[in-house]
Formats: sequence, structure tokens, C-alpha cells
Amino acid sequence: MNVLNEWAFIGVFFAIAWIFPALPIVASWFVRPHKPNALKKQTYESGVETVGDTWVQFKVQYYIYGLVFLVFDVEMIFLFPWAVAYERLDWFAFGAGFLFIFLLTDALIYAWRKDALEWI
Amino acid sequence: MSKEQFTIPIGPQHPALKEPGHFTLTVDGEVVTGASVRLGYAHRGIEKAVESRNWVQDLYLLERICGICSHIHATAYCLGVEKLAGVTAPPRAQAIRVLVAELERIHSHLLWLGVAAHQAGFDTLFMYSWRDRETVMEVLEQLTGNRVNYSANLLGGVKFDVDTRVLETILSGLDFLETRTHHYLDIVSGDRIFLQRTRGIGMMTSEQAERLGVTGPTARASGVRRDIRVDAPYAAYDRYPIQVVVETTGDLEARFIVRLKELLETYHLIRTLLDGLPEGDLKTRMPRRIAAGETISRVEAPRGELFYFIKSDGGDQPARIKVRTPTLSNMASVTQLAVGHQLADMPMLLTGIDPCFSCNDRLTTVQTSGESETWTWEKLRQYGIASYRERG
Amino acid sequence: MLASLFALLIFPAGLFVLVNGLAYHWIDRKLVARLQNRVGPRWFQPAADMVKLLANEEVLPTGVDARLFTALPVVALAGALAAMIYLPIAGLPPLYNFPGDLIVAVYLLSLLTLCTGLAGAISKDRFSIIGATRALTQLFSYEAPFLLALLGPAFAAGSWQINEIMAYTSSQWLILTQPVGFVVALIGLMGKLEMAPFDTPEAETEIVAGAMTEYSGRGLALFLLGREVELVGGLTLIAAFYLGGINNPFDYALKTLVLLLGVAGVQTLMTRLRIDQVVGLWWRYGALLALGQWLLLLGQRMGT
Repeated sequence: MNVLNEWAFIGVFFAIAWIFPALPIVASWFVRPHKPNALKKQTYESGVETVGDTWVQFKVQYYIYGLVFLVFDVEMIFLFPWAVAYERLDWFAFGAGFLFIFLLTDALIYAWRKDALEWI
Repeated sequence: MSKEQFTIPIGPQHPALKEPGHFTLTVDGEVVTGASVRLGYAHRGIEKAVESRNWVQDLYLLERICGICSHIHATAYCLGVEKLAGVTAPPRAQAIRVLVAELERIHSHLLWLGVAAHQAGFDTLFMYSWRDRETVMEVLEQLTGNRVNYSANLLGGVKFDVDTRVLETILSGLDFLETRTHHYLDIVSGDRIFLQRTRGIGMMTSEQAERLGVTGPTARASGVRRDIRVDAPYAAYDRYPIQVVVETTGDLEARFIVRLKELLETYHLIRTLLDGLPEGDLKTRMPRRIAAGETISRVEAPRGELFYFIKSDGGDQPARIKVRTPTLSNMASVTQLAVGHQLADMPMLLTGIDPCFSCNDRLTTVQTSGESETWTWEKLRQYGIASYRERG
Repeated sequence: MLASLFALLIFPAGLFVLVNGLAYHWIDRKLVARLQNRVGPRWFQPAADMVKLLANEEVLPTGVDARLFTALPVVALAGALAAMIYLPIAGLPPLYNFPGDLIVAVYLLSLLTLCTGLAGAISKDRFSIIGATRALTQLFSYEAPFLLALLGPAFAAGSWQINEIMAYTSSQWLILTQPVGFVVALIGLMGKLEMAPFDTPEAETEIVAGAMTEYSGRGLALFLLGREVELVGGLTLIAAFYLGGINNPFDYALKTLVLLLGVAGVQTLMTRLRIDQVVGLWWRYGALLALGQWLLLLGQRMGT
């Protein structure tokens, strides 16, 4: 019943934690110079002028990695409660968890065999 | 939006480049699909400047083309001018030229080892090899009074002698460096994580190397047996022969191994040279005006073949001096090899040829709309001043 | 109320963590320098860097969303600091806890990397974009094994609440029973902090400063502070889980410093890995090893 209260602390602290970054910002507002000009604000392209658009379509490779990660990461979170409470589980829940791990490992091996881990 | 290319500019102001140059890389994700190079940022107009100074002044100016291989530039120039004047420097002077050139090679290769390791992100090797480089720097300082730009050469000889005290410093320095070089050789050919970054990267076959006109250690790492010290011995190299170090694999690892093995060869050469240093004068008389004519002079710089064309019209100033440095010959290999490699390999590939942009960039004529026109030194200077004033 | 505010803002969370982070950052730099036969920075160097950065002008490059550009470093640091209340900083018990706080803490620690990636992606600069993709790809690769490595102790303790796991690990050193998990967790932390050899996302000889290229002044300072806070948090977490818990300030200093020494050693010995090598290393070996270790644990528990 207290859970909500405790969760609220994250919010509270996150709110308070802003103070730290905010303090130096306010402080630096007074000391730092502020003289922007067009040349200074140019994008850093190591000394030459930018040519073309930077935001272009990127390689699909990253997307595959993202997917593999997402699958793994989300399943990992589901594993946590199962793993810490497995002594209190009945056989069905226990077996379901095992199946879960099996699928996870299987997926990794599948991705490996499919060369999804290969950098192309 | 799909066909757009993602280009990454490297340079002129980029941490991977210790001197200004510019590379445009097109990448697909992390893989490089195209590369082009633009040189000329370190242009200082030296070739033009030498035409308005006398032969002796030019020696000091040309020595400043490069900060690392300064002595070899001066040697190439001296040998060429001596050839034009019909003068030969005495044997002891020639031997000392070789001595300084080889010490300079040690300095250059150790510096390169550090820079290459840093490009790979292996800073420990960088720090250690530069610490050991101090040994040879101190030897050079004791020998010549300077850590770089030794000014060892004179037209017709050398400026100083090797005395016993310096001799001992050199020999003990060499002993220390030899053990260290063996250690580094173990690292670059045995450290598995480092090998992941060098083995099989930047493969260049000997045919490719021939076709691209690569010189120096870069060529020798690809199995091309080419070394001016052996092919066309100059100064005293005919009396102190060296073994050419050749590797056949042609990847980055081979370029490391060739340079390190060359160091061992150099230690050996210096020891033999100091054992049998010929007695005699340090210099001969040189005429102030050099007889009209033209000649070429080729020497083996630490980075490869250095080429000088010298033309005299009989005055006390050269009519034309053209320098072609090894970096320029090797640069083509970088853009060729880059394709298909990862972005992360680019700094290593570039460093693999041991580039020296300052050596490279000395263009002299400015082309204006098709017609070429030769500018005087003063006009070039005025143009530069006006151009920068305009830019603000 | 005042006491808990003090605990949140000054000690043990908040200001203390920042100072601690600066100190550990210095120790790390000094250790690496000494191992590389250099002199290394003086003790106040990281603090001096911060002061200097905060006093510098912040350049807002053209083409970026100004609000996002300014807010991201703030969120990154706030996230890292927020994670600290669940960790046994300085050997004191965590300020707050509830079942499952381990997950929250770990994800708050990941917020920094996410912010880094986003900060690189909103910039028009090509080095930033490459840096951002690399940072996120690296996150994709180490995050899951890192979580698995933390699951081991949680599983052994039968809890996913940090202070309960600590109560369990205080009696035994899990590094002895789960060595693979320990190694994976420590290397994962190095990946999180983008330390050599996992500094691919900010490899200076390739992409200048990666996602941070366009940041200057206070934005950069806040990101760096966030990373230092994360260093403290990560070392604390690993020491608490694998090195027999953290029960008093002395324990804390000793164990985290030993870990820091190990981290500095790895930093000196290795060449920077390419991004494909990082990904291959984690997915092929990291994930499988951690999974194998965990299955082994499961088998053991079932046997008893």
C-alpha cells in the first residue's frame, strides 16, 4: 500500500535533482561571456563548410541491433521478478519462466546464425 | 532522401591530423564507400622563396620544410648542389651525414610508432615509445646542439665532428633503444587486441603498391624491394651497406613490423659506421656561384624516397628547385585503400604511410583561368596579405 | 523533512556524490597516467576543469533545437543523481528503497547514455551523429549483459531490492561464486562510462568528441559531471553486490578504490575496439557468458 508513496520519491528526487544542474547554470549566467556570432555558431565540420544535409537515411544495421536489444532488454525485466520469487512459484509458473529463457537463448542463437550480429 | 550520401569531413582541423589536410569520406553506416583528399593547407611557398635567396641561405630554408626529417632534406639539397658544382664532400663528412640521417630515422620511426598507436587508441604504447624517443633526441642534441633541425650539413661538408664523449652517448643510447625496439616488436606482433586493429587492415598487394607509386617503408611492407640507400647509394651508404627489410603481407601490421625492423637495421648500421669512421677533413671549399646546369638528387627519407630537382643558371641563387616528398607519392594509397574499411580504421590507414603534410605542400604557381602565370615571391606575399584582410 | 532534504541534497546523495565523483575521476586519471609513465594531473584538476567550463561561453550551434540542446545535459545529470538515493553511497544504507528499486536505479543510470545519444542526434554536425549512433549501438550491446550480471546477485539473494541484496551479500563474497557475473558487470560499467577500450563513441582520432562535439561550456560540464556521478554509482553497485557488501565508509572507500584500480589497469592495457568488435564481444561472449552463469546458478538452486 505504501508502494505508490515510495515511487513518488523518484519523482520528488528527480525534481530536486534538477536543482544541482540548475545552480551552476544560474551561476554561470553571471560569469560567462555571451557573444554569439554567425561564424562562431557554425556547425563544426573540422574546418570546412557544411555541404548537404546531415539528417539522411542511415544504415538498416542499427535498426536490427535496436530490435535485438529491445527484445533482450524487455525480456530481462520480465525475468527479474520471476528470478527473485521463483521459490514461491508453482510448477506452472516455473516452467513458463524456463520456456521464456529458452526462447531468449534460442532467439540469440537464431540472430547469430542469421548473421544479424555480423557487421556489414 | 534515400540516395543522399553521408559524408564525413576529416580536417583541416581534426584531432586525428597533427598537420592540416582534408579528407572527405562518404560512409554507409560505419563503412567507408569513398574517399578523396585535398592537400595544400600547409603551403608556405618555400620553393618560390628559395629562388630569391643564395645557395647557402637556401640550405637553412629547405631544412625547415619538415620538422622531423629536416636533415634528409638538407642532405638531398647538399648532394645535388655539390654534384652541380663538381665538388665531393670528404669521406668523414659523408659518414657523419649518414650518421645523423640514421639517428633521424630512429627519431622519426619511434615518433611514428607512438602516433600510430595513439590513432588506434592505444595510448600506453604512445606514451612509452615517446618516452624512449627522448633518448635519441638527447643523443642528437649532444651531437648537434639541437633536438630538431640539426643544421648538420654545409655545402661541401658537415659542421661538426663526432668526439669520444658523444660516441659513448650514442652507443649506450643504441643499446637501450635496441632492447626497447625488440619489446615493441613483440607488442605489435603479439598483442591480440592490437592485432585486431592492424592485421588484415589496409591490405595492399605489391602490384597495387607498384601501380600507386608507393615508396619507403609503406612499399616495403607490401613486398616491394625499393630503398634508395641500396638501389642508388648516396653519401656513404656504398661503404655501409644495409639489409632492406621487406614484408610481404602488406597490411598495417606489416607496416609496423617493417618500420621496427628497420630500426634494428639502423642500430646495426650506426654501430658499424662508428667503428670505422674515416679520418680526414670535415669540409671542402665550395664556389659561391654554382655552374649552370641541372641535376636531380634522390635520398631515402624515413618516409620513403625524397626527390630534389635543382637547376642553376650560373648565379649565386638557384633558378629552380623542385621537391617531391614521399608523402605525396604515398597519399594515393590512402584514398585507394580506404574504400571498404571502417571509419575507425581511417586514422590508422592514414598514419600507416607516415604522412607529413608540411613536407608536401609547397605549390608555387597560381593558375588564373587557364593561363598559368609565375608569380614573384613579393606578389605572392601581397596576395596572401590582401586575401586574409578581405576575409577579416 | 529538513533532515531528509539534507540527505538528498548534501550528504550522502547530492553534493557529496558530485565531490566524490570529481575525486574518483582524478584518481582514475592519475592512475592511468602513472601506469603510462606520465606525471598526471594534480588533485584539483577535475574541479578546475568544471569551474573553467562553467565560466566558458556556451555556443549554441545553428540548426539545433535550443531547448532540447540545453535541457539534455540537465536531464542526464539529474537522472544520474536520482539513481544515487537507492545506492549505499559512502557505506550508509540507501536513503529510500522499495521492491524493484534495482531496476529503477539501473535505468536511471542509463539515462545519461540516452541523453548523450539524443544530444548527438539533434546536432547537425556529422561527428555528433556518428558518435550518437555509436553510443546507442554500444548501449544496445552492453546493457542486456550488464543487467544479467546484476540479476545474478538478485537471484542469489532472492530479492530485487538493493538493501536486501546487500544484506545477503554482506555475509559472502559473490565474486567467488559468480566470477563471470563480476567481470561482465565491471566491463559493462566501463562500456557505460565510455572508458578505454570502449571509448569508441568518442574516439577522438576518428570523430573528434563524438556526440559531445558541439557541446561547450556548461552543457559539456554537466555531461562530464553526470559521467563522474555514474562512475561512483556504478562502482558502488558492483562493490555492494560482488565484493561482500558495503557496510561502513571505510569499506566503501577501500572496495570502490580497488575496483577503480582494476578499471584503470584495463584502460591502460587495451587498444580501442572498433564498434563492430564491441558489439561482437558483447553479444557473442558477454551475453552468452552471463546467461550461462545464470543458468548454472539456477541449476545449483534447484539441486539444493
